[in-house]
Amino acid sequence: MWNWFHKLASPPHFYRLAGIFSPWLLWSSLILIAIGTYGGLVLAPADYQQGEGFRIIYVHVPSSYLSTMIYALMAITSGIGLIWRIKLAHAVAASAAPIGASFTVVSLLTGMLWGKPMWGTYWEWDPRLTSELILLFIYFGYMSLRASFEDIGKADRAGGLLAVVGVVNLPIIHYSVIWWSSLHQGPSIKKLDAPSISGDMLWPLLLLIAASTLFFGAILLYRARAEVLDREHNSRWVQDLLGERPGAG
Amino acid sequence: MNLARFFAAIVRRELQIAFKRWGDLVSPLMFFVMVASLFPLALSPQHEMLRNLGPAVLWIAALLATLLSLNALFRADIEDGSMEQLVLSPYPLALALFGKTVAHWLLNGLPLVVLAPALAVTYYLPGEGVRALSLTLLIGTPTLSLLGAVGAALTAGVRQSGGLLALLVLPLMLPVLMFGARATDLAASGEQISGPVYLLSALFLLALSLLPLASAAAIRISLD
Amino acid sequence: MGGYAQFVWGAFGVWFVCMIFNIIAARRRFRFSVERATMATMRQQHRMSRKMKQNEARK
Repeated sequence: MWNWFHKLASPPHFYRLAGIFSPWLLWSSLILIAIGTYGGLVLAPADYQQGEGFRIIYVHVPSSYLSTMIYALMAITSGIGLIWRIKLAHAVAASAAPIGASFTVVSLLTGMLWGKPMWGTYWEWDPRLTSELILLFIYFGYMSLRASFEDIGKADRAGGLLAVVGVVNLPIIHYSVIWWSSLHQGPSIKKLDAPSISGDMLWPLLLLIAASTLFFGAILLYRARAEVLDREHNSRWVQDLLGERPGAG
Repeated sequence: MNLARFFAAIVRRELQIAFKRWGDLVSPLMFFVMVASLFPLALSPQHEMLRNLGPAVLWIAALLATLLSLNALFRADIEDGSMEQLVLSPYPLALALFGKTVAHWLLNGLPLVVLAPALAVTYYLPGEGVRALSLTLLIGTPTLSLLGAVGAALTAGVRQSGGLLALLVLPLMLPVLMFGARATDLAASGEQISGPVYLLSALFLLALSLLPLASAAAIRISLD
Repeated sequence: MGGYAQFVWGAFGVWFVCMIFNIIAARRRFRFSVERATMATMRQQHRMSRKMKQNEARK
């Protein structure tokens, strides 16, 4: 088990494996997303309360889920990288951040597009949207902290520490936002939830959640390869991989 | 020298240095007062509206004033090399940084707590609200200082770190702001505030126990 | 789409734009890194070959 783990965590091995897996993951996720989208837009019946508008759930929920899951992954890999000093873990954390931020934006925008027909306004300070907005700020903070360091090792450790501090803070922020919004119960604001979801409504949602996770995996591996190259471009295996064969060693 | 004396020595040194530079001490306070007095000028001096806005405005002004004073927290120590001495010294770095954070709060947080009631009166907050504002600021500003110390330590090696520091620290400070401002608001409208005050205290204790360690780790990263 | 067409299509549009953006951004990022690593490799090889020539000249 350990042996296998060490082999995987060695950069050249990871670089090779990620190069093999990434396209497979990407194509399978794209096919599944196409099926799920068809299921969500065409096959699923309209909701009896929200009508056709509920179909936004098929993109809002996967992107919200991804935005949180990616942050958790980023914090875990940062922690691993900080504790065991594994460069590869930092590389994964660094590549997860922009993907997570992009899906946070999608979650916010689709939430707003859902809010307009449901609440009559694009923005409502509802706990879910508010926490999502704060999560976006945290992603931006992480990325700009990384960008402000010239030295990649320093960026890794500083960003890693911020990610770990942030993950302790996220539940606190989430629950304080819930507490804060519970104080001013406006004229019965509906939450962005599909009420009593039925089977043919549910499967496209689950499929899309799974497929978007695969999609994230594909992009993550792709980006992590680039990050590994950045960290290793002075090492022998990269030079063997990229250079023309040097004349004599 | 035992740990308590080491801690006291750090705090005393910080205070002595700070009192030599009055300008740095007073400017965050003036900023606090000015931001708080901008709102009535920008809106309109209606008592009713100011009473409603007061808790939020005063808390936000306190938050921004804290943020303003954070930039210089570790900068001078890093530039003159004394931070390196602390890292290499046999005493725990977290304790030294905690001492500096305590000094920062005594110099920047405590004056805010003292000044806030005076400003609260200009916002026509009732007595309950003024007391709640002082209480929540008293519990909340140390938490802000502790959080800010981590941010200052992370950005200590970065040039032009002002905006970056705000971007890093503000999201983490939001719970304190929400509990503090809402508790003041609730108290001003005559409601019980023990709930949010307990939550603020819990945040303070959590910050107190974990964040000095995080600051120490961040300083180590920034220095090597 | 029962009067919700613009919102539903808008939401799915945002989603697909995000996916395409992610793919393109990742590709660009990867190309950039390969370019940089190739440059580093070429510099390294240049240095090594110069050293070898110097050694030969010395002989």
